[in-house]
Amino acid sequence: MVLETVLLTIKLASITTVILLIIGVPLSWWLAFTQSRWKSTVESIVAIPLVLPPTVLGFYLLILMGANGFLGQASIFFSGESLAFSFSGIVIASVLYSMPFVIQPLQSAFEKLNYKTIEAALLLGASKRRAFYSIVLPMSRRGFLTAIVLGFSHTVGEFGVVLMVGGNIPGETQVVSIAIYEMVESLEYGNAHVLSMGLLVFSFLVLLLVYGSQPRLKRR
Amino acid sequence: MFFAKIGFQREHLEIDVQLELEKGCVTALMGASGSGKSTLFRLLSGLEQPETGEIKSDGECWFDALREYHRPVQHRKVGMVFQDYALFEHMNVFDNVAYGVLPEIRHEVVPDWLSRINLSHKSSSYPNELSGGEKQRVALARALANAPDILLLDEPFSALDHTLRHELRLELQALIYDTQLPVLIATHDLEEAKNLANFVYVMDEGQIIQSGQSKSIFSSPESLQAAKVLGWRNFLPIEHQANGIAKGKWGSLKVPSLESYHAYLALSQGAISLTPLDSEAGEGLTVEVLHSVDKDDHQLLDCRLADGVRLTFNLAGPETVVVGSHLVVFVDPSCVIPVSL
Repeated sequence: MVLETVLLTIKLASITTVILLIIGVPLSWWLAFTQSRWKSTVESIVAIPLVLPPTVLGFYLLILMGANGFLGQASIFFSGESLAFSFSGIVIASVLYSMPFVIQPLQSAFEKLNYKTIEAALLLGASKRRAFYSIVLPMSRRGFLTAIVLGFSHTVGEFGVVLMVGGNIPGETQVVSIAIYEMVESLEYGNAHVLSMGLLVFSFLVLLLVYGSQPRLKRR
Repeated sequence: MFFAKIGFQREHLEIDVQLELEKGCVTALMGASGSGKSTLFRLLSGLEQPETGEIKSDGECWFDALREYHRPVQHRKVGMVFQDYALFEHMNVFDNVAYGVLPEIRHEVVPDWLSRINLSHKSSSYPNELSGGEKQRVALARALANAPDILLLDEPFSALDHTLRHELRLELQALIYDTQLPVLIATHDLEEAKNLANFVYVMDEGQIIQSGQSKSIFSSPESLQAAKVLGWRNFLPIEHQANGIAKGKWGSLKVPSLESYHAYLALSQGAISLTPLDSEAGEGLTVEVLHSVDKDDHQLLDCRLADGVRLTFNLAGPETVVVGSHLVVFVDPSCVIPVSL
């Protein structure tokens, strides 16, 4: 059961991180360079999970994903199943909840780019795709590393939103943090200790990676 | 030959420019900050699209508003050196220069360019390990290794000290002679334009307000704004003129070249002295000395005429002028050019 929960958590965090990168790169790029008057509105929406109690976000997502909600009805129409209390539901919730942890480091990295280097690449004949892979990606690699690490680890550690939207279904929506809560409730302190210590060590290593990457990159 | 006639409007700047660049010739684009030089570079290179006009390089069409044709920046072969060089900080010198070169000829072309700019020994260094002059050389080699059809230099020496500028200017001249490219250099540095350029365009508020051979343009400004860009510092507003005599609240001055209506008299360096050079030079102008700076063999004086017009000039000789004192200065009419507004 413990292994199944850990694997499910890793699966959820991996899928969430990939989706966040796919959405986050163009959105962060837009936020970094746009002069649109909607910029601050979009930035505020993205940052809402930083200040909102997870239960509030979870509550509204549950309503939206339920059988009477817009997302729930769309899901039932296309797949025959509701999003509430499903793995797909907690993926959507995790994407929304972890979004600022991916968008903000990427946006900050893009804002620090010297835009003229991208123009120099285009003037030297590079396609936009080549300019992105050969100039933008390596020059903002620390931002990408931070975004990936924070997006992944924040999803691993989330509790409130997942519990509200996904409940506690072993093998479907029961992630590590929820399993720890259930173990403590049923006085299984030994198992709770194993998972908690695992999360603690994981969180420490993640932060070590993020903070440790800076001097390493500077030395080059 | 490179030809461009383009129109473009963005917020407060309206570009309306026509220019021709000869192969092997350096053309300077002079103008104050905000005059539209950098925007014009972006339009010529294809980083931005003009709204009207056409651009042709050696007969090849790069842009034609009538045919709605815009060749993408990647296919224009423009060598551009940015003011801050815009080197790829994560790549070494070799990879920077090689970026635009085809992989199959990279190992011949890049070492050749590194040797031409005397940086073969820095091939594996990163930009943050280079001096300002070395960065400038790498940026130039990167632009030229791509075998461009035109070279655009945006204030290329502005971040360098005087000695290094002179050295790099000579190297640049040799490279331009070798490559026989049309070269356009944006600058507001007089010395740079005088030493490098064969031809000069003066730009102000998005328009070319004067153009001419560099041998003659600096001594013959046509308007107040062009004169300012071309290094002239002293101007007397004309309120009334008749029979070759210009008058203003500052006094009057006989100017033989004053034939039609002009708004200002532009005074070249050396036009002002404490003694009349010509008995017909007039009565002299009374000025109040506001500031004085002692130089090696002269004093730099900042003075004010009766109507508040400022004159700045060098005063040679042993006499020392005290701030706050009044002087009578004489203007040599042969050093005066009437200019329009």
